Amino acid sequence: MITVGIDIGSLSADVVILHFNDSNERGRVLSYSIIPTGFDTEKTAKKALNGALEKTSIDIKDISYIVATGYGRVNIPFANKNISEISCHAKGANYTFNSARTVLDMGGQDCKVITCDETGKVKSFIMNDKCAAGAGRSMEVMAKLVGVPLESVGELSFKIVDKPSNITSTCVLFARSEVMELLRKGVHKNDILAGACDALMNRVLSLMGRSQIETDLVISGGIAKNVGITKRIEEKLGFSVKIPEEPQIIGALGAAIFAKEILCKGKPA
Amino acid sequence: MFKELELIVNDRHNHAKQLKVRTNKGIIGYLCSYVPEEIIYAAGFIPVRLFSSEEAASLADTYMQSYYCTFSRCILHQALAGDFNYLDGLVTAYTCVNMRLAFDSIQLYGKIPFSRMIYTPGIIDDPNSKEFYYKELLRFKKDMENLSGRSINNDDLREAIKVYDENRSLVNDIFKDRRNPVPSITGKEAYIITLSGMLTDKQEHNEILKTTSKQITNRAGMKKGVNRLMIVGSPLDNLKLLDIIEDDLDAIVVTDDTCTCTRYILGKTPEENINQDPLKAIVERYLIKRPPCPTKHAQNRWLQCSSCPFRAVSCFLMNPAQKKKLPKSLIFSNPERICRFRHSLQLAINHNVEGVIVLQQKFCDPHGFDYHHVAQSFIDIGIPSIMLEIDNIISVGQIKTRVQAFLEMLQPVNYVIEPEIKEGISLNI
Repeated sequence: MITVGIDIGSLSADVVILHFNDSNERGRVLSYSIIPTGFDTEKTAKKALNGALEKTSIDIKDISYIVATGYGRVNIPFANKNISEISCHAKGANYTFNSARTVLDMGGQDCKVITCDETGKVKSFIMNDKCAAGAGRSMEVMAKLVGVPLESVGELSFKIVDKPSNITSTCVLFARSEVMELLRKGVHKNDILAGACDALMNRVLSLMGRSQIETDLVISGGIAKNVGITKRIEEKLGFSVKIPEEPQIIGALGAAIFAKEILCKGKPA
Repeated sequence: MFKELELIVNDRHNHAKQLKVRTNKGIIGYLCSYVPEEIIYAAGFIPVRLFSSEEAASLADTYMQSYYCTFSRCILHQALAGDFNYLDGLVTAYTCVNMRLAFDSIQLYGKIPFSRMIYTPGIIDDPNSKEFYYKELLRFKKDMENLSGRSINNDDLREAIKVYDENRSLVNDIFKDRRNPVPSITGKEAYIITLSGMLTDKQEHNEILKTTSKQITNRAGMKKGVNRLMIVGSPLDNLKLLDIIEDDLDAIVVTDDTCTCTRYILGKTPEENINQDPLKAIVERYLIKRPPCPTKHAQNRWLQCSSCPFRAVSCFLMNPAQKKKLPKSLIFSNPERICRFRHSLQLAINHNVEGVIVLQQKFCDPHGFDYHHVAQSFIDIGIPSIMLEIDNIISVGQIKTRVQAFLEMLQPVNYVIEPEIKEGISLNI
């Protein structure tokens, strides 16, 4: 059987196609796709789903169940059910690493710390407030401002020339002004990026301080791809964290697993 | 059956204007549930509570910085915009600084003919506080007499107390039903009942409630087998939040500890005092008999709890290791409501609450101070909670994600979601 998880986030839309024969089977990810979220949620979802389908030999009709998640979850008419991204991230992280008990999801516009049990069921969660500081969008703004591609931010942030800049503003827009001032003073962009990564890490850690962290800790979401952040978090926490091969699809993966569980409960194996 | 009451809530300004013309009585606006409305009512005025609205508080920016809560900023904005031009006066009780600054600014720039701040003691169970508050209410009574041009005697006060107590017991009777496994009113309806009561003449409200309660008795239960939630925290006057919880997501709010709903109607005026000195009875009701808000507390806040059954689980002076779990079935017979935490826990247990939503109005300091203790005391009796930060404008998407995840968290591990397969998926782009 084939189930699909669709995660429409604020910045990216992710689709995972899961294949399994019966409920006892763990299931296998056939393919996935990640595209930027457009203005039209429904179109974005279709495009992402088609993108994932193209990589496989399966047809749309073979899909048994679709679960949608993320901020756009309610606007996907062809999904069978919507489940919040908090539950999906816990499920997906727990599926990827069986030992996962805490998930730090750093998405485009929010950041959350989720604790779960051995089945991936949420025990508690904390989210950042309305402000997008400490989320992917702020990194995008910084990278653009100093003129480096987003992918190289992490690497460059360790090649400190003088010392990491001190960026104190929580608000992305104020931080942007601070960075412009630093650039004007002639501070090297690597030092600025190091400062931006430090600031983001501190903000995430203060959020984690409000929750009880149990190991293993999994980091999901787009920012997990930024070694500048993940290495710094590891250093500060004093233990190593687990990062999925593709951290951006964890929410969609969780949704696909929920879809599998729902189907299998309907028809016991 | 709540149409009439909902209309009062949604069209509050027009309702007050019509009320003024119809009854030929003056309208006094008030800002806080600690204002003793009985005295205003006895003077022949109709007290109506001022609430926030869903507009940007742009006019308030001149006088109140953005780090004050939007609830108070929005009230100032409406006052400056002239939305309250039907008011004959404005009264508040000293509780939080946010509200105080809004009041001060309205007093200076709001063009309302009369305004008065009632100094309300922060410590509620001290004899000196009671004496001070009694004298303050005497002064306030005098001010109301001057404003109305007629004297308020003890019988006037007794009459007003009777109307208000009747309202409290009518609402309480309706709310009792919310303890049932399938309540016959939703949380939104409960808020409509209390909010409308604050916005209209209490005697008229009583008459509406009498017919409504009869209709409710014949009504089938509202929601079966959904999660039972409780709301605790900052004042809630925006019904949209309840729409999200109860309509968009399937849950029901069975009780709350907020000053715009349950906390407003709890605590009857002590009868023995009404006969002797009605003003003293009002002092007792407002300081001791009603559940306190986080700006009010008992002296020796943490120490005088030796008789509290929750001391075993939630006393903040205790070493965490000494705490033990209390059975959820515990029900207490005589609620002495001077400890807020105990009061909240008791409501939760009586109503079989499964999860608690702690509302934190952005920049609401009093509730912010309390948050850790509130959350911890619910953890101690095994009820999970989440904190929702709210503004006067409810950001639907974010609130929905948090509440939906919270509800998913409350489901038992072996919870079965019924599969609903949709036929004919078409994907033509």
